[in-house]
Amino acid sequence: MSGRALVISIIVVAVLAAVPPFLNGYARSLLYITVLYVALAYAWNVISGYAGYLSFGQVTFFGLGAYTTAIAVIRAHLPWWEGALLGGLVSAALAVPLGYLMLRLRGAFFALGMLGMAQTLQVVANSWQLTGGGSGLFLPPGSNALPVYYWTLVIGLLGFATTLFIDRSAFGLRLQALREDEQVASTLGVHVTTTKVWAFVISAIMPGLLGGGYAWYLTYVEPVSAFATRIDLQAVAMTILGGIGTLWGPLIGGVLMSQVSEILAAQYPQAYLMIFGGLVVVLLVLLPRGIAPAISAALERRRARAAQVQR
Amino acid sequence: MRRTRLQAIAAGVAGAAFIIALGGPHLTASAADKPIVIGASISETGAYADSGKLALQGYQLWVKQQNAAGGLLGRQIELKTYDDASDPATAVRLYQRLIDQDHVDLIVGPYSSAVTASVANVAQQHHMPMISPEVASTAPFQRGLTEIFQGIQIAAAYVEGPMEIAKEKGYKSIAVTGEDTLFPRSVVAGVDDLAKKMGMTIVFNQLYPHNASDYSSIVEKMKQANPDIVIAASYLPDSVGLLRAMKQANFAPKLLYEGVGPTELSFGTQNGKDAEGVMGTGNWNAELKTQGNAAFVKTFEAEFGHAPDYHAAANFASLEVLGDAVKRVGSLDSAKLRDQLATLTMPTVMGTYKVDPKTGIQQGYKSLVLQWVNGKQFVVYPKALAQRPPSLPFAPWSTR
Repeated sequence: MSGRALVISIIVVAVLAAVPPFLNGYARSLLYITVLYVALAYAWNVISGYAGYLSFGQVTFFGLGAYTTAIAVIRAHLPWWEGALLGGLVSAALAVPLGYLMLRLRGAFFALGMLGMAQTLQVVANSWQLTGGGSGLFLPPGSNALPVYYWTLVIGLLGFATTLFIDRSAFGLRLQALREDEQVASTLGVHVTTTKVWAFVISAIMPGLLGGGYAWYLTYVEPVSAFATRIDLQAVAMTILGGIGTLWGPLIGGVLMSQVSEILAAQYPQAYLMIFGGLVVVLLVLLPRGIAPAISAALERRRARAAQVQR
Repeated sequence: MRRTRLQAIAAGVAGAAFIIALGGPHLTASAADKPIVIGASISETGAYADSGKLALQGYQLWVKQQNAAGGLLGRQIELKTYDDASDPATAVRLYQRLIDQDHVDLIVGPYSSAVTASVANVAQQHHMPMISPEVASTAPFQRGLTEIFQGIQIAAAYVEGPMEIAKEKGYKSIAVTGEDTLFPRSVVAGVDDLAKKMGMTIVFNQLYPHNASDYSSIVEKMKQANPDIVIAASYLPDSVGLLRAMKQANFAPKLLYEGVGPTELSFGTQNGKDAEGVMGTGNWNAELKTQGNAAFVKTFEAEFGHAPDYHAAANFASLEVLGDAVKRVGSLDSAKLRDQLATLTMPTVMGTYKVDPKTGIQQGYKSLVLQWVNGKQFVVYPKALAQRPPSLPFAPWSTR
């Protein structure tokens, strides 16, 4: 990162870290949910944006993290964040074999396969004694959102850093190569399977880690809300709006979408979903590649014009 | 240079958006002449939207009536609600918004158990007492929370009615089934103990998953167990599914009870003659002779153009109780209100509100057994409120 961007990023992060203790519960929750979705969007962006494998089931790992944490807290009396770490590990452990299996599918088949995966785990959670079946698991009440927020912020920053690395590394180039054409990438010497399984694991660990905080924050885990497709869809919509497969897309899309939907929900409680849906459609028609690429294109045009004038 | 600019602008946009979000409009705390604001989130969209709307109208009607009658403590009342889209995380944020940002004076519960379980934690942390009119399971109340009170009949008591009726008829063996989620599970949780007490035996006990599409295998297994009565803790779709599978398998127990599914009017229209004799549990009924019920039904229909259901009645009753507690306390002091809600006994459209002071679990409201007879629903239990005696046994499929 260049000097100026680095300075600005550090300031933003410092504000995000320093301000929450002084906020009221509502602002804190709003900030938490925003950071959570941005982090989920970064996770999704790796497998679906960079590797080109559209997934509608990364919430599988989110729910897995939530349940792992709840069980760790209730059964083993671990602190929640240890449970959440465990959730990340379990997710990674599942993602490796699952990746080898699922990433044989392409396009719509992979997307549907992952959707089915989330549904499958939902059914398992619904019928297993350990997960409390449909009754779900109650965590001790009285949780404080602040530690969960910091946990989520750190994972979000790791997601950003990982994306920054992917954006500028040979690994990232390999991912983009297989996104464009897997066969060509393979003949050029890219180890296709290993590369995409790695991307899949990265996209699984993060939701796994985030789910634990979510469970602690809600003090209750149950199958329907833990594996809710809407969580995935929201992260997907944010990334696409912001710019899929870009470094800044998840951040811009995530912040914009959560703030706009919150403001609309408060101002027009009856009609906000309709207005919100309309706005997303309009934005995507005007900027089909998302906001981040549009900004960068605009900047480029301006720079080119400036260069011409100078000449 | 290009990337630097882009990054700088993007970071700036992100930072600015956060700051705008955090510095949103803050309302000032309400003064004595301002209305008393009651806050709630309701599932107006999402999985529970239909019932959520009726629940909201229950709240709205009480506020309107109370304002016409002079309000509360000499102040008008304002209802402030948001849509939680049936999502627990959204509901948590909205209750925090109501309390921290909108500075509401009082809160009442949202719709659905899953949402309430998470919101209860918020109420507890802010020491805001909350009546939850939509949570029939007792699990959320058994976590040591002191600020939540159950505003509806407990699910575990649902099965008492059909089992009492069965006992009177001398039926002995029971098959238990139902959807494997929080509420139906709590409905069947009491069956074991009751059966022992009443000298009946459970010959089959197996739940089916949420959103099941095929009931033939579970019905076949039930048929083989040959029970006198079937107790199924079902919602509308699964109660219909089970009934159709039973007809197909030509399996007719002497008594068929199907949870809350049969209480919906569409159960009758969807099943026609097949619905005859099926029992279910209702929490409330338009004919019920509880205090103010007839007037409630009439004004509700006049106001919204359709009949109220038990959601509307339970939410209306919760505000009746809350309003009464405020009057008794004479202020909005939340600690005193909490104590009042824990110990109060008061007649409402739902019956007599009374909770266990320790847990807030409802003890006063009694559930009703409804049965489909000649294409109509009748209250058949408890006897004091019954509109007719139960029609038993359940007719074999060949005679319909």
